Amino acid sequence: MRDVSSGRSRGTGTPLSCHGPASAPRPRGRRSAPWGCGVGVPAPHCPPGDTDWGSHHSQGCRTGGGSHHPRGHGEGVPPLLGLQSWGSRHPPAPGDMEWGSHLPQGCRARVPPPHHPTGHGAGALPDRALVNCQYSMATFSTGERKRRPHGDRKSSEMTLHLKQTFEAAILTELYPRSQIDIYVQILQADGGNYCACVNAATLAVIDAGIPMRDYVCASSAGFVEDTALADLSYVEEASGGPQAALALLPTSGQIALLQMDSRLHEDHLEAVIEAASGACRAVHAVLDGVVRDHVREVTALLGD
Amino acid sequence: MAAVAMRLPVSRKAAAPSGPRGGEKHLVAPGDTITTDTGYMRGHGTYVDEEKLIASVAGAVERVNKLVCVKALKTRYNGEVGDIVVGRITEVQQKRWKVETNSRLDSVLLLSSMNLPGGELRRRSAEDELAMRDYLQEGDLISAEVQSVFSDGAVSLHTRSLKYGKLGQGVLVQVSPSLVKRQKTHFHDLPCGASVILGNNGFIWIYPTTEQKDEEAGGFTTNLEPVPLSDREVISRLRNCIVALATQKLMLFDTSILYCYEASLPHQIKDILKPEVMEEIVLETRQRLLDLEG
Repeated sequence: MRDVSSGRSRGTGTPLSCHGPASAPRPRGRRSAPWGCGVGVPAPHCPPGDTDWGSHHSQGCRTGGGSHHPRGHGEGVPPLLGLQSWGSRHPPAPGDMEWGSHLPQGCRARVPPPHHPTGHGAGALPDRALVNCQYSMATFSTGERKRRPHGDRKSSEMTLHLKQTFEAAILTELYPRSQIDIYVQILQADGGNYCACVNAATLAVIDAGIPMRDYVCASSAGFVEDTALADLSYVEEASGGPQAALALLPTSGQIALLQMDSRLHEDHLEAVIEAASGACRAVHAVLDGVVRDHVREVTALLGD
Repeated sequence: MAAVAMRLPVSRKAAAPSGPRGGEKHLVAPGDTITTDTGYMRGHGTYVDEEKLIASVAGAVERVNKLVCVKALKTRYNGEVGDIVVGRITEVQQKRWKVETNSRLDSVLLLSSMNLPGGELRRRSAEDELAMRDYLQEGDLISAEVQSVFSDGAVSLHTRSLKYGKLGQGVLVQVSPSLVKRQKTHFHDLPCGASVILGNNGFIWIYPTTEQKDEEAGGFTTNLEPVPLSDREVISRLRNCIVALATQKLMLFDTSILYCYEASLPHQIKDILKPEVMEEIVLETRQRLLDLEG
């Protein structure tokens, strides 16, 4: 488990942490830092009932402008900023042992290990695990502080999408009559909510040791002025252009979920999907690096 | 004096791998191809897709002859026959109790697998069924042994020996099941003055050593006499040591716990939970264990 400095500004010194060349100025007044600064930094003796998480800021810089790449600089696939570490929950809290909680871009996910179904009336499936997702947004996540009731339309829809995505990716046949919970909460909403949730939940599921076919990496994509853009920010999403969300299993190239609510000419569809796939693979590279480092470290510690 | 200690987060230095052992293991992440050779049998943590053996969890690959499996870093407890577990009763049903043992399905303790008070062996009658709640209620902790495993992974327990049964006063520590080393016996009386039960499911029970082993109790009568302060201090220190070992991911067995206890004696009990102290103690423990082996 790592402690990570939680500086509010990323301070990488690269121009990437600033706005890209062709983007609209972000409305600074509304949020303090447009790129998610992970809230949680774990303390090893965290009190019971609390979760550790590492802070990740993926998608730290999202600009539109001119290319398929998330940063619009036309360079090679950029390393997404600041997917720094992941923390996993350590023993002390009774009953809450093996959770992974991760925060890409202002989102945290919690996956308790598979357990006996808590029976919300749905009951247990005899041959598979039941995947139960819950999506919520923190009140401070958007520009105006807004209380969001659980079970409103948007969060139900998001919950359903997450459930579908993870039912496709998790090998549920290995856990008959059990229930796998995925709780996701958005801490900073700056576009790409669904995608951030999927990425965070992927890390959490891997950390919990639940078998999956592959990573699930997600990214949004849009189409503005004859260019396909990947990883849209809030401003770009709100501008009203067509946008799609894509959840991909990178190694096999299989699509777990592709969703679009707007109208797009079918000639442009290919380009949009390409852009999203490229961004997904970039995210995969970062997540993979983090997972491998963690595994290497823990294996070295366990030693024997 | 402040009642709460606060600290700013600090970037943790990566743990230096102890010796060159880290290089041999083949570490995989979900979606990695392990091998394309079809001669291997697939074990846990893998699946087959188009003649390729692909990993489904993140961990180290283990090969035993023709069997390939991936051991995940953290798993739920998977019961095996003969394991000692410590569990908590969650439900009292007809003729059985449901026990929570940190596995993916609740374990089952049948009434017929339970020792009756006095150790008598007889057929369980209807009165026994009605009196189930007198033996074990929801929330009680028990130590038991795994009798059998059902096809879906649920575990059936038994307390057919006098050393198993309801647990009295003590402290429970929950760690990951992968950290508990498999040994011949899991009941240890530590020389520092407390006893410990290392459950294979990751539940560890620390309790004061009873002076005499009373045979007739059969594990039902809980000893509710007040525990003296010195015993309580020993138990608290042991608990913090176990938490420190688990955080630093050292395997838990009686020798490692004992060494950690001795290494922690110069510190105050509550200081053991501080990260620097934890690292220092565990490093010393690792050192002593290496000296013991080598």
